[in-house]
Amino acid sequence: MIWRLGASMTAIIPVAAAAARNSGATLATAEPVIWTFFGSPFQAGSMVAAVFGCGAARWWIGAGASLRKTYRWRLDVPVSGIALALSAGVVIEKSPDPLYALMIGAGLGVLGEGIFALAERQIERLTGGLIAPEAGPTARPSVSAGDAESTAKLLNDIFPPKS
Amino acid sequence: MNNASYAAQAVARGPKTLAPPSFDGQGWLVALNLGAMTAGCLIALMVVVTLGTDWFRYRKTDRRLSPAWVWRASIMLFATGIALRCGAEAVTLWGWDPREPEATAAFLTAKRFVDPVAVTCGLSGLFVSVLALPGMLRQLRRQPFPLDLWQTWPIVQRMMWLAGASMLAAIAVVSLR
Repeated sequence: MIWRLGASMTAIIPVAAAAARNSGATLATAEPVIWTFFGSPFQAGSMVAAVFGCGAARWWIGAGASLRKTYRWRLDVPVSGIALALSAGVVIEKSPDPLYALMIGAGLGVLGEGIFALAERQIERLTGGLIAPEAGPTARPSVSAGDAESTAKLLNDIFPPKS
Repeated sequence: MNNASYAAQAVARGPKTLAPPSFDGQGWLVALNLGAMTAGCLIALMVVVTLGTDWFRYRKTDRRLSPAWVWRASIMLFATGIALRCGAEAVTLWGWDPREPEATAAFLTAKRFVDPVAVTCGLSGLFVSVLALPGMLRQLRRQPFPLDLWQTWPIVQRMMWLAGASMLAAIAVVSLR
């Protein structure tokens, strides 16, 4: 664990070297670094802020949840990736200042799974409810063979008796 | 600009620096402050949320003024103070922009409003700790020592990762803008 910490500490060195590059302390002398993504320019500082905010929020909210460790590759990584991509997209689109970029990133990271819910609601609204909302995960109770009572209960659940 | 607040006037008339002028143009100091304030706010918030959840979960076990309740309350007060103070300062540092004097001045003034509340939280935590000190010490001196310091090491590690990430982000933002 310590060596991992040390390894990440060494990552500071190039960044610190970049920081030593004195770009001037006033607005007149400073030149904000502009990066481009497939031809669309954006402020590098805002992008770093947004990505940090999003990553910290995503990682912070469920860092200890055991459920998240179970679904790391099926849910956590895709959701984090989409939240990161969304915040990066917003930064490229709107070119906000670092503070607002940070807040946008953190907000989208906090939304996390909520992004999917919002998208679903939007689709529902656009299609006029043509796509029925799913009934949620149907966890089937495990039935041991020959357990007549629970089988009957399960059948009752699947095919409710007509009243 | 005539009916703007004094703070806004000061920002508008002051030197157009990238960071508050009190940093005197030293970028590394800005990055250090930015990273420390962000990390402090995030970590303290983490503690507040964790302890708040615990508070709710154990509300039947830890009755009011029971030792666990007092211990948790004092830590929560400290953490709230740190979160408020660091959060206000972080917003000021992140949001400093002489091109928008009104917004910058609003952050500056908001910090002045938040600071007394943060200090009240911190001092209340101190008062609660001092009040609980004799009883706590009597309990804590019992042999064998009822304390396993490294039980929550993963949580502290998570906090340290967060601190490192904020420091990296602060350095990157300061050097890139």
